[in-house]
Amino acid sequence: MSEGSLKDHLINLVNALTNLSPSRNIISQLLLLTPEEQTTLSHSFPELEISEFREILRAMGVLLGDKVKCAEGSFAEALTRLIHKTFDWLDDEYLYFELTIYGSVIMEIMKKMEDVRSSLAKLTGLHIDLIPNPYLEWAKLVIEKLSRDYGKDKVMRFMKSLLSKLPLRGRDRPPSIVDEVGVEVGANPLELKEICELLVYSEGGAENIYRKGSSKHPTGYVSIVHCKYHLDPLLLEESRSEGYYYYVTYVYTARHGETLRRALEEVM
Amino acid sequence: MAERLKVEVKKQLSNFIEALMALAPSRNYVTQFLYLVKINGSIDYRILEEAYPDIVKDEHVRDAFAKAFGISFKDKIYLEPGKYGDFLAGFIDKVLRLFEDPEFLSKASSLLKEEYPQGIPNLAQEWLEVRLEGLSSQAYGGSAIKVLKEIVRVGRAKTEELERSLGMCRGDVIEAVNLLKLYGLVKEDPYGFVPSEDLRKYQKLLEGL
Repeated sequence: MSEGSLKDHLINLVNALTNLSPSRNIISQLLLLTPEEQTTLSHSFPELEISEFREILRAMGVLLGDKVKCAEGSFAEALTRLIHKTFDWLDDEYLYFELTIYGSVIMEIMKKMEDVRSSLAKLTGLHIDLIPNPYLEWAKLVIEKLSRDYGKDKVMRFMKSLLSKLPLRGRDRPPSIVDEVGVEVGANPLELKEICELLVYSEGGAENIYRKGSSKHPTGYVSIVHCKYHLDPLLLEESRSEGYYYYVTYVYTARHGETLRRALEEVM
Repeated sequence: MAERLKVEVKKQLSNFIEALMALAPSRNYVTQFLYLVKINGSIDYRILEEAYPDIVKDEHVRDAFAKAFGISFKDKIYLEPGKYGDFLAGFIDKVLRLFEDPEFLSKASSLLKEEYPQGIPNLAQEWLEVRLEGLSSQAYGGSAIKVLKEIVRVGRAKTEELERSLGMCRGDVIEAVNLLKLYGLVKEDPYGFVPSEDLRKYQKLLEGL
């Protein structure tokens, strides 16, 4: 193994993980945007014309049909998961679950890995602001791109309005982000829907990550809401009522809220 | 146009491959620590204190590592399930499998001939080489290499069979196989010790020892 201090190895590791993020690499960017129609992807990534590049993508498990997607269990699929996890890890937003037993009931408790950035700063001797933040880098790129496409004002107002309104609650179905935020943005409904899908929520994009309650009495799910560009700023919590009047409550809360505010300020 | 795109693709691919290679346990002390703990499930504190003193000995470093990666430092050291260290160690396994895939290696090496004139390295083989080299610096390294060669020769062996065939005392055989298990070079099943899959694939590396 190459020589070097523990600090050097840690810095190399964090830099390598950052260089695998979509703000630094088109391969990661392309994989993060799948599944997607090949014609759409080819428009954004003309590199797909290079046959050798396509062959390498295939060897990593990318299926290049009419729709481009990652094969189940492939390296490409594992890399997209790594990108998501590293976004959360280096932004102090990493969620994990701990099994706890209360009497005869097994419960899973959702927690957040805290102090990751400050611990890495201690270990590397770097100032905490010098620890890379791939999520922040990606958020700035996405906001810049959408500002060019839809106008800076609309995108800024949309994101600021969303962040200021969270948490958002709905009964029996999740609240509509477009309805809640749209009035203040002033864009036409079609544009609003598009911005929403790119930045906040895409149809069928909720990933259940946690079942609330216990092994005997589940009371709902917590999901990360995925959007086209995977800033994924919402956590959706579903709670089922008990008793005669059965209903379900849905609450959206913010993920990466502080970082998104910072990204908006820096892009402005 | 096509030539300019190809230059850009090569630059992107080269950076991408460099980043993946930097994660390999043969090249990074931190991922080596995480990966060894992952493949063993857990490792005795005293063993890792000796093998990775920079990480384990100092209380402040240990605490910061525990918080950053999700590692439990008790009598046994293990990666806490579902935390980032556990996830990353799982991903490293995927990297090793990709970098031994002949199709990926040949296609990427052919596009990056100038950047990697010797070809892109097989990281799984490199990791095995590092572990085999590492054995010789250990207290029971000599015995471990003898035991390892014997297990590879016969395919599967029990402790008492190794004692007999190598003329070693039981204590030395046990220390040797513990070291081999720690490095992920042999696995134990109900019928004895068998070589790891890597070792079966790259058996020729043993000849140099």
